[in-house]
Amino acid sequence: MNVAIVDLNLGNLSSLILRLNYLGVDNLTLTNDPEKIYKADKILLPGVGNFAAAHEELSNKSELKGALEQIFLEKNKYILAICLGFQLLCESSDESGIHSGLGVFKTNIRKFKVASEFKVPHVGFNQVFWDESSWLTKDIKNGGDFYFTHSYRALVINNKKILTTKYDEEFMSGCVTDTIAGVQFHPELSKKNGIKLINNFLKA
Amino acid sequence: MLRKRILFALIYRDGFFFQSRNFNLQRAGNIDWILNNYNFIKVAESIDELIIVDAVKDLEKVSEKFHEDVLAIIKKTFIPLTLGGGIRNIDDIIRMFSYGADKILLNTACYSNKDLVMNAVNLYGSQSVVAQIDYSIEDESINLYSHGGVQRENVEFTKHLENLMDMGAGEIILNCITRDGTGFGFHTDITELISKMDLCPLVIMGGAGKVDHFALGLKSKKISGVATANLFNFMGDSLEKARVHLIKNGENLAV
Repeated sequence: MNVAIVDLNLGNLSSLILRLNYLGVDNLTLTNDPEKIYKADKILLPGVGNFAAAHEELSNKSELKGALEQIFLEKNKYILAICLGFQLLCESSDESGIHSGLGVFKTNIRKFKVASEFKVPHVGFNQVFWDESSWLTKDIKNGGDFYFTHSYRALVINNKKILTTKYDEEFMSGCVTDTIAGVQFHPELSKKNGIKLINNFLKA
Repeated sequence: MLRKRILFALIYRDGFFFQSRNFNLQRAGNIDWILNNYNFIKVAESIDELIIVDAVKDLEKVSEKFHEDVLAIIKKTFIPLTLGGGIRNIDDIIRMFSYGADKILLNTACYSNKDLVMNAVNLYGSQSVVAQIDYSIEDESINLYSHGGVQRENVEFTKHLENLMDMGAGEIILNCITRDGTGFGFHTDITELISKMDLCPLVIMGGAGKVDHFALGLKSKKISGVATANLFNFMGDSLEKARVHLIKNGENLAV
């Protein structure tokens, strides 16, 4: 199985790659080559950092953006987007100005409301809930803990496929369609729940 | 609900791991000793984050051994890793991330090289930059130290916290040199000095010797996490037992 990690030059990926290697993903390609991504069996879209920078990176790589959009349309392979990768699949973000995302998930990214009892960034393990279990959350306890570290979050939408987490208010901590999953948390840093989730993606 | 965190720190120098007491280092053992005395697959389920500090003396020497030993530990852990120690320039920071760090730990640079801290924040985001404050309690005043507890800094504690927020630090570890390695418990009084300040998440460190100390630290509203570098008090399965005990007593930790 060939797993492509989309390299949008967004922060540090060594941590993720090390953990995937440990889980036995042998054929891992870190690439921004649209053809390689289009041909991969599975696609990971990770990223940490600034949404505006990610938006610019994608705008400058129109072929890569096109390949991703083609894959979203064809729905013939599984995609897991993590952290900023998840945010990029939403409609827009107000980080460093309003910028558009790829619009797979019909929600928007906004900064957490700052209040002294809710520190920003939102850092640490927090519970993730869902209404309907999916291929991504199979065999994981509803309300299980996952590791978050972020200052912007997706607004909740009325959709049974979303994952939710409570901080200053309930936010959308992920979304799962038939083939595309995005999560705000870092499964690669989320102990046994994270390992299960990554394995669900790899086995899907 | 956002959980509180237990962090475990390993102090490293030239191929060995150390027990620190008031910042005096006592050699504990090499990577084999660590892996024999700590089942890291289990340790990583019992803690929430791991910190490894390279307390390197010769800053000119890039340690390949450190890289190897970090890899040997983290390939068994699926938790966030913070790496620090001897970071002087952006190349050091890039190197730490390439080793697999999720965050970097900065102390000395926060006093003398603020541009470096801000560069790190710009490149990797606030959430990847952890500032550590090493402080001691002397005649009831709080004194800050850089360079691994060697150099006294003249900035006042709350002013330094403000500076760190201005630089964009995403988390702050308050490490009490006076309590370090003593097993006397955390210096939780420090939180009284900051009760009115609006800060990023804070972790308290220095002094944990038993599970009740964790419980006391975790009860403080101002604190997001408790950290220990006490190798000898938490050997074998004692971290695992500590976590089970804390959760049974209703502490808000990830399960």
